[in-house]
Amino acid sequence: QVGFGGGNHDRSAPVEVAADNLEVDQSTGRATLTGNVVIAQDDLRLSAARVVVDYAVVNGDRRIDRVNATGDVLIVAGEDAAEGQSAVYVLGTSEILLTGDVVVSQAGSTLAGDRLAVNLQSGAGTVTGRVRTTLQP
Amino acid sequence: MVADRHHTRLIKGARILLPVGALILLSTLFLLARTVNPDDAIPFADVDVSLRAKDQQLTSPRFSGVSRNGTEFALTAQVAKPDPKDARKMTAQEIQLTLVGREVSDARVAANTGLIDTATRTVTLTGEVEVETSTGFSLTTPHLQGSLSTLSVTAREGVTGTGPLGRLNAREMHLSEDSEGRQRLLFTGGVDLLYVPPVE
Repeated sequence: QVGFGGGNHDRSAPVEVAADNLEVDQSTGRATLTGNVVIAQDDLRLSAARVVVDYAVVNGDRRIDRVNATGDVLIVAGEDAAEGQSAVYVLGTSEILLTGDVVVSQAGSTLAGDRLAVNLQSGAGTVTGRVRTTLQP
Repeated sequence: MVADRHHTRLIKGARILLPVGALILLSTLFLLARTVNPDDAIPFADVDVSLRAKDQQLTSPRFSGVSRNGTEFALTAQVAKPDPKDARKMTAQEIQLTLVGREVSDARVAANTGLIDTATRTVTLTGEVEVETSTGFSLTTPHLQGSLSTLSVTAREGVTGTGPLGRLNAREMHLSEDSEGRQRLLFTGGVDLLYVPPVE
């Protein structure tokens, strides 16, 4: 169990996205961002090599349901940071699941594991799978 | 009786004076009336007719076909002037281009002016080019150019607009078709998006 990001993330805050390229498959509408993709919302910053956006159609209009990031994913929230191979960020629930040799660095200590599950709303984070911790002296 | 004589003279005087007065009134009426210019009645265009005959003009031309991978395109314009040297090249005004790909993917392009080459099936659209896609993008760019024989049109001078990912601006946009005729919309050269989550 580890605190991550200090909590009370505002999930209705605007999401700014920057990337080198955006490709849209015109028949499915699926959007793929590639090339140093950075997604910023409130105090969350998620950067990755590639991000695929999944939509949900709710009462007629299309809204972003979740964001799938792959390729040296870095998540920064507040003073905490975590790296991993891939991450899924579900906007509605402000939950991020980071997987693939995860390293969490917080205030001088780092924690390594297979997965990090974070709820930005409550600020809770749990690292699971071969958890190793190292303390910087 | 004095009154009678007096009376008849009055009547005799009136009988002369009144008609003469009426005549005078009537004539002044014609004198003062504005002169009516018969030419005003017919509105006619004073375009030099010989000029109109010299450069032929196609009104609401339509140019349509299917690209190599199955995108149906239809281009209409309000007016198009063929290039005197090569009739298959023409400059057009108020252009509408619809591109229908396979699996319900389509895009509609509108532009104020453009150059169309029906031989090589290429178009250059300029002046406030608007692109609307079935995936909910609505974009504007100053310049869009490319080929319709295999769908590949590119905007290199900046694109802005809105879409399912919120406000968008990118340096370049490229609309093309893959081998099965599905349309692909690619923004490159740096893309910025601003998405505001709908409040529940």
